[in-house]
Amino acid sequence: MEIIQQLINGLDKGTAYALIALGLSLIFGTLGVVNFAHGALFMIGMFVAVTIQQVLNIPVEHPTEVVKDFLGNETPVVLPLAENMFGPEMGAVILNNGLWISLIVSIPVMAGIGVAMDRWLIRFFYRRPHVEQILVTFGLAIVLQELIKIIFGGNTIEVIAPDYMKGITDLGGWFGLEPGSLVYPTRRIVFVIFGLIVLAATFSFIQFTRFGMVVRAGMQDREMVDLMGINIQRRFTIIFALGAVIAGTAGVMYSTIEKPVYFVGMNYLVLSFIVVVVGGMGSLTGAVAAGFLLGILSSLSALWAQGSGYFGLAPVFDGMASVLPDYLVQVFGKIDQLVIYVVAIIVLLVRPRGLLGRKGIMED
Amino acid sequence: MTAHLSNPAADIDNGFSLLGLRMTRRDALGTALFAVAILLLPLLMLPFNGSAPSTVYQIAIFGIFAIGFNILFGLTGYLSFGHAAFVGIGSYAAIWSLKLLTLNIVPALFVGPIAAGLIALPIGWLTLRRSGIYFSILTLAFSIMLFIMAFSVFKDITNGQDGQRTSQFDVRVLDDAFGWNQPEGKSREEVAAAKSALAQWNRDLAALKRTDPEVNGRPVDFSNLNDFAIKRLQDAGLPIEARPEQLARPSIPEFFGTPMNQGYTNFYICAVVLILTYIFATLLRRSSFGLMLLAVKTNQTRMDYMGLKPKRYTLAAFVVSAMFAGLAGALFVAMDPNAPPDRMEWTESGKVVIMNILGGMGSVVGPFIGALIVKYFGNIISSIDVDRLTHAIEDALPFPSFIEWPIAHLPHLFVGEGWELGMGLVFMLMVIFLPGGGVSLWQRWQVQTKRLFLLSFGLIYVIYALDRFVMGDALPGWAMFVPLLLFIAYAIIRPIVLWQQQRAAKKALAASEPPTPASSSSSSPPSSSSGETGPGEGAATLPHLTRKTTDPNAPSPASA
Repeated sequence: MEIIQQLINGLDKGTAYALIALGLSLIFGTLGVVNFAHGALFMIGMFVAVTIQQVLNIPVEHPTEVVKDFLGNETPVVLPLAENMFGPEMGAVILNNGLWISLIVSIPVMAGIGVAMDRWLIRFFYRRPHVEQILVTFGLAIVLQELIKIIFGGNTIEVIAPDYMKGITDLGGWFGLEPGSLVYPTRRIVFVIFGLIVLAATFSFIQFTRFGMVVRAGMQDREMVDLMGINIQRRFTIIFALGAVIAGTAGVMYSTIEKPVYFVGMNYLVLSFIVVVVGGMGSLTGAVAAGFLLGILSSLSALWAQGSGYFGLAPVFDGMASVLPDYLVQVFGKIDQLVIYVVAIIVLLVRPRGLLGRKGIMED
Repeated sequence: MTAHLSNPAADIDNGFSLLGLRMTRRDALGTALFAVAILLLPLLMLPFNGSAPSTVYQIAIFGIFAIGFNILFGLTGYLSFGHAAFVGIGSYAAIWSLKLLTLNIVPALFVGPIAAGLIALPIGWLTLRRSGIYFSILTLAFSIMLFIMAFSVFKDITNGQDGQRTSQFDVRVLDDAFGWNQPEGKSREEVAAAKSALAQWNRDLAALKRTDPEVNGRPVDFSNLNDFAIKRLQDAGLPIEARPEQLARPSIPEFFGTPMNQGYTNFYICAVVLILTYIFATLLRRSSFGLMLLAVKTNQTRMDYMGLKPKRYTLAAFVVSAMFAGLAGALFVAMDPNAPPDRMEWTESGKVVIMNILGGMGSVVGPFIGALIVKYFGNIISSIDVDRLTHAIEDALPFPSFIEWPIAHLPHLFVGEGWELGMGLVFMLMVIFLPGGGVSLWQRWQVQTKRLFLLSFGLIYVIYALDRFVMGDALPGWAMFVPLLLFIAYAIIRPIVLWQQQRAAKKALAASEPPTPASSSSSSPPSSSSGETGPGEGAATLPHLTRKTTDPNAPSPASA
């Protein structure tokens, strides 16, 4: 049971990695651009949620309602903007559901940012070396991060989840197990479900639509598709915007789990890059699979690190502890933080194209 | 990008040769100029308000780091995102040298790079099996691993978030053996006697504790034994003596008797190391090894075919650059005996990449200039009081407030805490328009532009000196920068004007030349690169013409 608990603990992190890595992989597969600013897009998504929450909560004086203060003077009632505009009941509902409003708002915002990034900056780097792409997008990531820091300050800001997403859900009860044996915070479940929906939608879009077919053809042989009279560049730009939207909406949904702060993008960027590389550059399934794999692996190794003897490995661990020098035991004890990097290094050295990478793509 | 990497062996004959290493006359001149400029750096930074000792020594240390990093990135083209880890390793090794061997910084300056090099060897051997983006990601993964391990596995060595510090209770084998850095004015024998007396006192105390003595029927509390408590115990009749005098040992690193806490002493130690680093990097670039590194960047396949093994050279470059990173880390510790783990964070690696790009990779002086710019802006621009500046601008502007407000509040974005935004923007512009960095800009300028630049730069010092010594601070603070600003405006506008002129000339040429359908259709390749001229309009001849006439520094992304 603990193993299952730990497995789903890894799911939400894995979903976040998979969503960012999916966008990265889409952009790399279509445009051939290594986008170091993708974590910043995730971070911007988080701050869209912050903005919407702050806008809905702007205190505004009510035009008609007044209240008497302790001196008996009449002063206007100050209410959040949403309640002021839509009345108390409707306003409360809107305030409660700010997260979904942010989700809807973030889609055009992120699409706009994605198109602007591609048209105004990335376009000029299609044919330049990967190192320069890394450098310019790294610079862009710094700029976006610093802009957010200037606007929102350097501290974490809490995004309040809707009431029905607070608290924990008894997953065990759903499957007829004894109550309380398998519990999980509701907002994390919502995030995982949201992520799975986005992943499924993206894959269907790429796999089953005419647009997706053209894009896949363009990923195989861009010049050929171009010569057939299809404006492949435009479709690739849309794919870039799609990647930005995926990262941004993931950021909106993740803002209830991790408090937004300006440098969070960089943290997720490094990890999702490792995810992409482990999964295989340009392979969408690889990115998603590696995202979940690494997320779950890291939470399973946390279990291992606690040394509480799951998998029947406790004797092995204890035996190791008695034989190995202290510092090696410590290494194994802290493996949960290191496991992603260790796996990435091993995969890159043994199978450079990644787990599911196509042969010949960036295999150098 | 390879324009500034022109054949270094071309004018080697009229140069100097030292221990088989060669240096051209130009290099020797450049090195001499660099050395003079570094030694005068506090003076040269005076008009820019950046001559504080802490600023200049940081510039020098980051200069060493950046010049070392350039040996890998600039020469071989391998972009490492993990070199800050080696700075951290150098720091920790050096602080342990200060703690365990001697407070003298010279051994620490050797221990730091050696430790960094030893750890870089296996890491480089593994990571250099891949190139391009994979190499970047691998080095990133290794550096983050080392960073995490500094907090968990190696916590005993690194002391976690607090960082490791020197203290007067350190062991310091060499100091004790040779009597260096002992308490002020005491001979070796006196120190040894004081030490053994204290040890004997501690032993006596332990023996006393074992007897569980009681005073007035209560067990004695030994937890807070100050002089007063000891006196009271003596009065109560316990066999305890006054604590022997403790001799305070120094805990500040020193260089053969000079403590490293005095203003410009720190800087000049760093400056000498920086100049040595510069000479080393220059010699390395001119050596056959440096040429091999350039060959790795240019064409690895060809090296393979010629029977050379690129991996050996890149590995050597990796280790050497890591050793310079370790040297920088050791210098940090020597100047300020504290080794925090923050130095290992991967964003610090990003910073050294930024320095290399801003200054210009591939050249020797470029990375130092980048370090100078980044550190100067990081220390000076970030500490400007934005609000005062804003008010000053508001007072100076004669416009109504709704126009004034956006203008006056612009500095809020780029000055003070927001300086990293400005740095990021400049960095992006550099990568977009000037991939070779600031040095390549200098190399692209014509002689007359170079002269103008030197003139306007020199005028800063002239005006500063005049204002300071003749006019008695009569001019406003920005007056000395006027020539430089004028020059910058000139340098930006001129290429744009030239580029426009050339475009107009090209169009005129295309219009005047009658279309020759027969020749163009027969000779133009299917994927013609004629650009804006369109198919059929002299596409066969124009590409050559345009390539020759187009100014390489045309500042337009459209030309990329």
